Amino acid sequence: MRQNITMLLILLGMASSAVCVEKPQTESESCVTSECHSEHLSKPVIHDPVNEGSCEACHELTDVKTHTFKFTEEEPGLCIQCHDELSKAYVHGALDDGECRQCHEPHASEYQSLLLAPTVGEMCMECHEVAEEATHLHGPTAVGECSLCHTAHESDHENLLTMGLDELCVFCHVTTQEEVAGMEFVHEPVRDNCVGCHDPHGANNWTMLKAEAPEMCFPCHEDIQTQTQTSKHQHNVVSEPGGCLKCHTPHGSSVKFLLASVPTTLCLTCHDKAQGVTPSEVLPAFIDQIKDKTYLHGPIKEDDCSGCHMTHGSDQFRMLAQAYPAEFYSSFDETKYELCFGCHEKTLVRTSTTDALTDFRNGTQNLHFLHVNKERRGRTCRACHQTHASDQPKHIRMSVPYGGWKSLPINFNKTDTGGLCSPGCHMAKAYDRQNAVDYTVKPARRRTRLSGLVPR
Amino acid sequence: METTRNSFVAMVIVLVMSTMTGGEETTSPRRIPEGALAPEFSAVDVTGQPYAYTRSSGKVLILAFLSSQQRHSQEAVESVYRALSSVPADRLTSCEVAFVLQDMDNTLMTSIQKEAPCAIHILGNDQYHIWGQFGIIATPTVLISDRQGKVLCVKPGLAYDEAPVIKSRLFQALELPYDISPDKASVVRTVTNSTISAKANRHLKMARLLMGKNRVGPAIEQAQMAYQLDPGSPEVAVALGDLLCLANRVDQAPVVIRLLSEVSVQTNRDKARINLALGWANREVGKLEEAEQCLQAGIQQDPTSPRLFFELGRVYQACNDSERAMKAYFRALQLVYPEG
Repeated sequence: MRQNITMLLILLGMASSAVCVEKPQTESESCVTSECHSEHLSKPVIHDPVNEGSCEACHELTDVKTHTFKFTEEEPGLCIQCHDELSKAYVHGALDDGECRQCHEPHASEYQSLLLAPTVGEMCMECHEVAEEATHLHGPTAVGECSLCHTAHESDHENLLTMGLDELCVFCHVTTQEEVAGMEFVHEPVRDNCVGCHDPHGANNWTMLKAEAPEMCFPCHEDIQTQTQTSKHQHNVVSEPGGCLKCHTPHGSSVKFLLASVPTTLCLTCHDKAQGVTPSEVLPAFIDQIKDKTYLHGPIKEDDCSGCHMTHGSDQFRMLAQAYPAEFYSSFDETKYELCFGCHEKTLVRTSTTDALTDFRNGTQNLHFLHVNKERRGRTCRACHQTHASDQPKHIRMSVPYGGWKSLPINFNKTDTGGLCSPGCHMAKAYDRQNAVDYTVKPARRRTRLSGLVPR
Repeated sequence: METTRNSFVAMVIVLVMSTMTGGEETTSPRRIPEGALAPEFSAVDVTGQPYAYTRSSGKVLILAFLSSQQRHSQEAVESVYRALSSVPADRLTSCEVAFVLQDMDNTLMTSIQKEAPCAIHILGNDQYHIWGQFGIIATPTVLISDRQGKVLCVKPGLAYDEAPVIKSRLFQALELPYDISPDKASVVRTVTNSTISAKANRHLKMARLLMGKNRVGPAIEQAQMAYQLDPGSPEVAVALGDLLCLANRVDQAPVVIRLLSEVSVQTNRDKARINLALGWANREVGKLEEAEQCLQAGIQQDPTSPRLFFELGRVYQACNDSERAMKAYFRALQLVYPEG
């Protein structure tokens, strides 16, 4: 294209000189007269040697009779006679080829810096096709001022940037820089590689993202992609357009994992109402399980559902982090409760006596061990404890489902040194850490009849 | 039939008992509450040396209960070290850092020792005595007490806000200034950069850069965008007025008067910028007296601005007062070329 224009100009020049004015055959004081080369002085921006009539700075007469000239030196040496030699690490490709005239008029121009095009942007677009179809353009691209980020000739920085990437973007995006400075957790690319996620010229996505989340995020976060796409139980929201950004903030956060808000707040954005898990299964509104409850399970109290749930996806029931049985009644096995033992000591159910490990003991007799560690009818964690929240201390259930009963009461009463349970499972029994209850004294109640009620 | 009768009996018993045992809990919790005094304890550390914590030591206690069997123990160590690393080195000696391990796992111990930013103790606790003294329920649990032994923080289970809370409480315990108070440490703050002010500032920055490239038209457009976004910002109004004046946009002179007449700024330099633009605008609309007043006020506020003197010269010239105009132009030249 440029070559064609140059050829056209040369032909036009030759034609006009052939038609209009005869070439002088003697040396004259000035090349620019009313008859010759006057067009050079008619433009607003004139190259200094032209303006000063110092044509010999660039042109050397070779034959006065034929009015032919040669350059005093070939490009780029010709220009470097006056303009600084390029010495930086990165040089514009056009200059590497010695073609200053790819961008500049040598004599005069209608445009600043003797450019061939009205704006820097239009000039650059002659060779560099950037963001042509983009719907979201970066400000400098939109106003056609590439030189706000790039130098035209040479730079110490890759892509002829005016500054390093760690400085360039925040030079204008000052607020981002100020906010990031106060953040404990910062997304790694934010430090020096904004272009890792944003196209600096323009893109078809909001905020000029190179792609929309999660596709934008997955190339770096491959583990999350795998978890999201291959887990048996997948968190649908992650795969939705913009999914990652529904919980994470892209630049920086005061909390880990760049969370956009408190985890339970994020979860309850959707789980404040029933959610369909599969076409045949609806997850009830989670909020109903914790609303107005007196005692909250640690992770809930800490506002962190991710204490137990894998937020992107999991092979476990309900996207749990580790094993936990889906069924209410299940024989006890440590491996079934890896989730609980992810925070609570396994020793809790392994040791028959303790004076410190748990408060659920009668003297030093570990009642967790007693309830759980049995070959037959060993109780599971959820047989007594409510997972998310309860109105009873120690997250003890108000009731358990049993047979046709949906809610067989447990009747737990905590005391300063122990407690009392009177569930449907067994006769009322107390325990006391300081003055152990003597269980060898059998209550004179109809034990044999009630024994038939022990859940299996 | 038998089952139904049994069920009925059980239900009656349960209902009776439930009326006997109902009521509000008034008992104390197992886990040591924040505000209580940390119990003094002793143990043997991993090197076999005896270790004892006493409140009279006057040291800040950071006690982390860990287990290699439990998730997140390693992350808890990182959170503790992250907080400790932000403490001035000379204050680290005021800290007593101990990790209570339920199992002496080599990998976890090596990791704790390798990354330690200060002196630490790894304590064994196979009988759960320290665990019991502090009423620990889950691991990891991180506890911080102040110099008097008052427990400031018990953070169990590695929640999302563990790092900021531990850091904030540690600074509180060490009586070091920290910009996030402990009660605010759990509040999630994010980089938003999407406020109106942030967007307006970006356009303003672009406007200035474009002016630097002599792209007056696009620069004014950017400043106008900034003004549309944030019309209440004095900075934006002054910058737009300044640009319109600099570009000599005669048709915009009434706009500049409207923009800047009510703007309030703090520095003399900004006040002078406003007076310069108002001086130019008033002259353009023919209000020469007001123009002179503005420019004279501007010169008082910034006597080093050649533009103010130049504009004043133009006002005097418009008033056909050549002598004063020449004086003002001359002063402007003196400021541009101080060497004479």
